[in-house]
Amino acid sequence: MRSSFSSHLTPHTSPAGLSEPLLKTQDLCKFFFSRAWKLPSLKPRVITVRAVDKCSVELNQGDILAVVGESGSGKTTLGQTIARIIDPTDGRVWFNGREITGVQGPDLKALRREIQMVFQGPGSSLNPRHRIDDIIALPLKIHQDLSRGERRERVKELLHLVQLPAELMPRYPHALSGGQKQRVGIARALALSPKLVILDEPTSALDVSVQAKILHLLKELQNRLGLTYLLITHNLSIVKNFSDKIMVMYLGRIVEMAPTERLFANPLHPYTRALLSATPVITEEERKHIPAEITLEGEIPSPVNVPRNCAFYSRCQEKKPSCGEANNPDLGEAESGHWVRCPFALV
Amino acid sequence: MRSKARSLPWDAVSFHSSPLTPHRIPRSEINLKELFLRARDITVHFHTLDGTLRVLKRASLDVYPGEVVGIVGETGSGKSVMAKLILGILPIPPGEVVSGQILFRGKDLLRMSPRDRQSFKGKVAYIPQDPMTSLNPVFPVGTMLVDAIVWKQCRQSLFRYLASRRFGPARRRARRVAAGLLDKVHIPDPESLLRRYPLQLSGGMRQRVLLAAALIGKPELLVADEPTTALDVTIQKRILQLIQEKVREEKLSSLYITHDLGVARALCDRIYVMYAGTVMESGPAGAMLENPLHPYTLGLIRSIPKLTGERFDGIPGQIPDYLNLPRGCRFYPRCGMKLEKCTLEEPEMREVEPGRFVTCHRASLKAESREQRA
Repeated sequence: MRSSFSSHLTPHTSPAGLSEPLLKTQDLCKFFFSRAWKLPSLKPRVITVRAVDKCSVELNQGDILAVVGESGSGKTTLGQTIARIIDPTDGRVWFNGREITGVQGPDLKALRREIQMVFQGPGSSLNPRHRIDDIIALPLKIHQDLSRGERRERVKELLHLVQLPAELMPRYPHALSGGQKQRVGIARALALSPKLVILDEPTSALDVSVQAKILHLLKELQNRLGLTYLLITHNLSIVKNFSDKIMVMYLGRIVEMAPTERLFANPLHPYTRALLSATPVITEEERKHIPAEITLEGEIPSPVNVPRNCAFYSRCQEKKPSCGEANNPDLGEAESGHWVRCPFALV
Repeated sequence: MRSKARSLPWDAVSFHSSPLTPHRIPRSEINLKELFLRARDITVHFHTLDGTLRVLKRASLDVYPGEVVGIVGETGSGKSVMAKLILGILPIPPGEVVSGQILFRGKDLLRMSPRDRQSFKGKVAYIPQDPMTSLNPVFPVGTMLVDAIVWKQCRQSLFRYLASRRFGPARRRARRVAAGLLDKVHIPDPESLLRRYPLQLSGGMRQRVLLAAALIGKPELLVADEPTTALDVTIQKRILQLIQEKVREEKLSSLYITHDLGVARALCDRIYVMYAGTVMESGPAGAMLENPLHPYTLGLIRSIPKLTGERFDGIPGQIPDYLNLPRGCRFYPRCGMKLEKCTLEEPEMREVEPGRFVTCHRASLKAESREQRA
């Protein structure tokens, strides 16, 4: 059994001769429906919340893709739809060369071994009534046929992997610090040696000195185990240092997608520029890396009645009269690999 | 004592020249002649069943009129204890102020008569951290604002308050005042917002309502406890601009508690960096963050991922247990530059450059050797 675990620590290699991406989604949609009774007719009216609207993503083996956006932009829903925590409304998904769009039953269980998620609040994503070793062992219990001793060994190795002492095994989550809890969350996600890990704001609840350590741990694990990450965050400074590719979302839609370096050097969409300029910086040196002051008026509109025209029209500083009339623009490729949803950025 | 001999702190430092914040208060509006709030050598212990937690240790803080002062530190560094003590809402017991004084316009807050204390409470306002949990979800926004305004107008007489909070001219007046306050924080259509419930508002709106509520009593001091942590960066930026604008317009002084150095840089004139209940470094925001003098400040700055893409590292170890504090400097177990002296003796706060105070043996030694050479 030991040998099977050591294979757990060896990097994944992509199947020979396969150049296709590890994860590919095509027009992935997630809509939420609810009913409202409107006076005076009392006829039910269906309200559609377009949380994720036609997102096409490609993610190569070993890459880190960052999904950036304000709250309400659908980035967490996108992550959860890919991890199949919630089912997509429409669109197709391929993973590792196989289509997994509507898989159910044993196939879905097998998929769970490949895609895992690290959740946002390290405090609220661990069951307070379970001990740390039980929390980490639960995926092993469900998916693998191991004896109790073997499981214990594996939990120990996983704790070692995330640089936690084995003494924490009999403790409960409340006895751990925020950083330690997040490490437990990472250990739980890695228990089944997944290929793709979805990180949903892994450090937003942590202090900066702890945040840096968690980010370094994630990077090290990625190098060692050949993991692929989908990082959901709103912190652009983290993205700059962590990811290979960035996807900016607004109101459920991708508005810009590019390799990290290129996006920071040349942000094309007005929303990306506004987001960059609002990032709090510490030194003058950093200030040179972001666009000059742009202040966004208002807030992200409700995803219930998404306008037919450009979704960013209501807050855009560079809008032209034609933006209000034309349909929502399509994603267009400005340079190779740099996609943007704004007709004026394309010319 | 060091406070008496010192010249005004930033004669030699131009901290308003920073192009980072165009909204920064012009220097002339900060009145350096008159000290507004001064906390001196505050030591606070908490008595618990496990023992005495020695939380604050000789922490000092000055606020000048018209100034925004930031308190920066990690979770558990004592920054909220400091703010609560100044606001007078620290629970005593279990807390105990062992020593120190807080002077507000020359009067000691800790030894004030209850009546004076009450009138001081009218001069401070507080913006809490979480906009959702601090607004009552079962009442419309207007009810809370109107109640507070009527209470103020009735000069805090309970009978008159109860008689006029529901009906009558006082209430109508209060509604107009409330709408005016909401207008001040740039809420469009304030009249209709008064009828809405907190649940119907977005995070940024709720924070604006709280800021409006803080302005009710025409305060002189605004204490904000991480008001923007729950908000998005774009909204955060608007709220910070709004706070800056209000500080300028209403001639407030502000104490801003945050763990985000970027926010502190954008908003604050001076920053106090706290660690384990001691003020480790204080000085003008720009100068400190460009050139930190204390190893902890340096560590914090280095921990933050930068847009320049330079390496970032965390600080090893974690904040000490207040029951079992290290001897000597409270930071030495995590310090990469510790001297032997650090493990034995507690460092004193010392002015090492004009306007910049550091609690560190290494920085003091450096300053001493520089003085000797000069």
